[in-house]
Amino acid sequence: MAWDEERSRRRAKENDFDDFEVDVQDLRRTLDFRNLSKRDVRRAEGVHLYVDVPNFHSAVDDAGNDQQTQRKLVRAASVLRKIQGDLLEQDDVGDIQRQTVRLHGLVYKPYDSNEESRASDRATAAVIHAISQNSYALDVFNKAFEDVRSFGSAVGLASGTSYIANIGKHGKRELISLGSCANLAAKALGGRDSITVTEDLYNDLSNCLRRHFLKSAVVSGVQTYRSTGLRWSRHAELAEELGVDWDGDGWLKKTEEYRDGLPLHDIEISDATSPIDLGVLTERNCKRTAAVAIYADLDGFTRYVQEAENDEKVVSLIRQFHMIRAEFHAVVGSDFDGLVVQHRGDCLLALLHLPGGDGEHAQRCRQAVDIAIALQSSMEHVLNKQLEDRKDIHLAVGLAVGRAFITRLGKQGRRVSICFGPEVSSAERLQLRTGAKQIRIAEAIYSELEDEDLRSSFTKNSDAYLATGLTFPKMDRVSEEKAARAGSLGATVKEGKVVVTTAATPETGTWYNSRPWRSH
Amino acid sequence: MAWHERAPARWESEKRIGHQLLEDGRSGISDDGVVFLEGVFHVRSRHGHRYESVRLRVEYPPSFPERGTTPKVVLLSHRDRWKEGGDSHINSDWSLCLFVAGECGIDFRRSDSLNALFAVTQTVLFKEHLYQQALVREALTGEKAVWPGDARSHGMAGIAEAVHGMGGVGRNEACPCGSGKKFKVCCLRRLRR
Repeated sequence: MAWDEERSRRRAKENDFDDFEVDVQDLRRTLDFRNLSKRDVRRAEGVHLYVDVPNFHSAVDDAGNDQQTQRKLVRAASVLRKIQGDLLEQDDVGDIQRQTVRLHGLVYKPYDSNEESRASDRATAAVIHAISQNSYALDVFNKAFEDVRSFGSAVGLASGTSYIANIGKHGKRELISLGSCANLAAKALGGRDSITVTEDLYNDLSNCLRRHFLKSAVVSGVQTYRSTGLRWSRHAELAEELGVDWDGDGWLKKTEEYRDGLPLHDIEISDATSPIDLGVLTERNCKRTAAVAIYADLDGFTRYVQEAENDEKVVSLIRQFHMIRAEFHAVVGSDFDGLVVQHRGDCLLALLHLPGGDGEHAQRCRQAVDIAIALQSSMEHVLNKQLEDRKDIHLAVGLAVGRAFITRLGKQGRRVSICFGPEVSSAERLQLRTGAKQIRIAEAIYSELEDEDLRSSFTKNSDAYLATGLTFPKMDRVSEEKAARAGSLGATVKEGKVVVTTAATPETGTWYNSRPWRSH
Repeated sequence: MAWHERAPARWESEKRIGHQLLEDGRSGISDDGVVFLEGVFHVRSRHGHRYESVRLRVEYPPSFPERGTTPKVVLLSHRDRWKEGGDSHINSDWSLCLFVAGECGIDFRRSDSLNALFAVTQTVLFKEHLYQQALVREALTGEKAVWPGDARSHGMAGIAEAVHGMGGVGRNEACPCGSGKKFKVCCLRRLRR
């Protein structure tokens, strides 16, 4: 199990998708994104909306490794997810992606943005939906789930043009939204009971809504406005003015039905003793495992999407995204025994959980660092060479080790893998603090590294260790030069391929010390 | 009769290995009767990073594979980029000084010995890659370029070191210089002188 540049280069060539035809069309009534094929891309004008439970990480920490508390958390997440979906459907909001308890939706109706009134209609519809999501989580959901920490709820919204593509493999639906507005909506997310909108969106709101928002922080250069405590239960007059008939009791009843339909004793949690097959997981069949969580985020990709002035460039970016994604999947799952759990936009979440058992902790840590270096190597030495003029796309990787809980939520055919655990959250936090070409690893991983050259590539940075520009080719150069000088550089030929070693001795049988000689 | 006609199975084996390890490979006999393999050899790192792609020619001596003779590896590319002579371990005819034949540890009577020859070529060419970069630095900064790792001294001094390293060589054994002659009629005389 190892990364190899030649193999990676062959894969990238095979996966360059240059013959891949992509059809970009405006999103409209007959061409929405519910059944997008891999070749279809929709140009969508609308409001992106992220709904999140800001304290979900704390609920995960509460659960720790206690099975019964984990069951309660799975049930709560599953029900929340179902009702979030019902709310989306009720308000006719597009469902782009659902992560664990985070939802990404798109308000795109009425179609065609050219008229100002339509933008205003969409802005109002989006904020109404945001109020409903917060009202549901805080006033209804928490009443029905007193056995888990009270969930917070926050919504971030941003409007603009984006491109929606399906990047799912084998006919699966996995939408990605390319464009800065979706990122902005996610970045704008505030704390409990908040709704944050960008300035454009704020300007499009009707007066009755606008007055509930106050000027807030500047996010990615954009002024935002925030409202706190805006719920239907507290603002009945606003609901009336907007024509919203909020049925809190009805939603509570539905929530209880969903909850009671999933008794805790039906949720089976078992420890993974063999490679986890995501395809068989359901909310009733969950896995726990000791694992290293790996978050890898593409840095700079969004900027290219933002700068793409025409469809041709967008198509080229989507092809490149497919190529990058295919390569990362191959690195994690083929070069190593990792498991890709989910893509969150241009961020990948993977786990390394084998070999099983706590006794293999050290080996897992070392191999996970190898995966991180392999991903960086593919990006810097292979993919960036295929990306033509787009050389500024890099990767930021975060790694933490501990226990992970994995399952899939949702209806059959539309199930989405979710993975959580205190260290999964830590890995995400580490990645978020990490810049382009960097790998940030938790101290618990660093302490398991044995190779001195590798250890010295990392420097302590706050509570973690950080390496910049670390790739296998660069490490090879250092270790092979060192071995050449020390007389331990060797090579052998296996199956028609030269294999290099830096630990050759006469005893290893590998042709070890060349001692060249000048014959004259 | 040329060696490859005397030992056709061996020649087939050499060509098979050569074609595995050399891109755009070809084999044949030159106008002056030298049997050769030729192609592009990629000098790669442990994880497959390509340091250099060099065009090589493996030239076989007429008496190969008997009497301690070894094939010669000649650099066909890089003549415009690299410097021969000095401590570069590239001879003036652009053949690589891979080793003192007698102490190389490769038994060229074995049909898979070409694999070992390419393994040595890999390590020497990686060192050459480093050394040539050091030569460029030397020209720019004056910092002396040093061959990375052990190397035998030039000329007969290197043979003497090898003989010492081998714990001595019998008079009737093949000369360690790879000439194919007996030690007593080749380098032994020169060493005594």
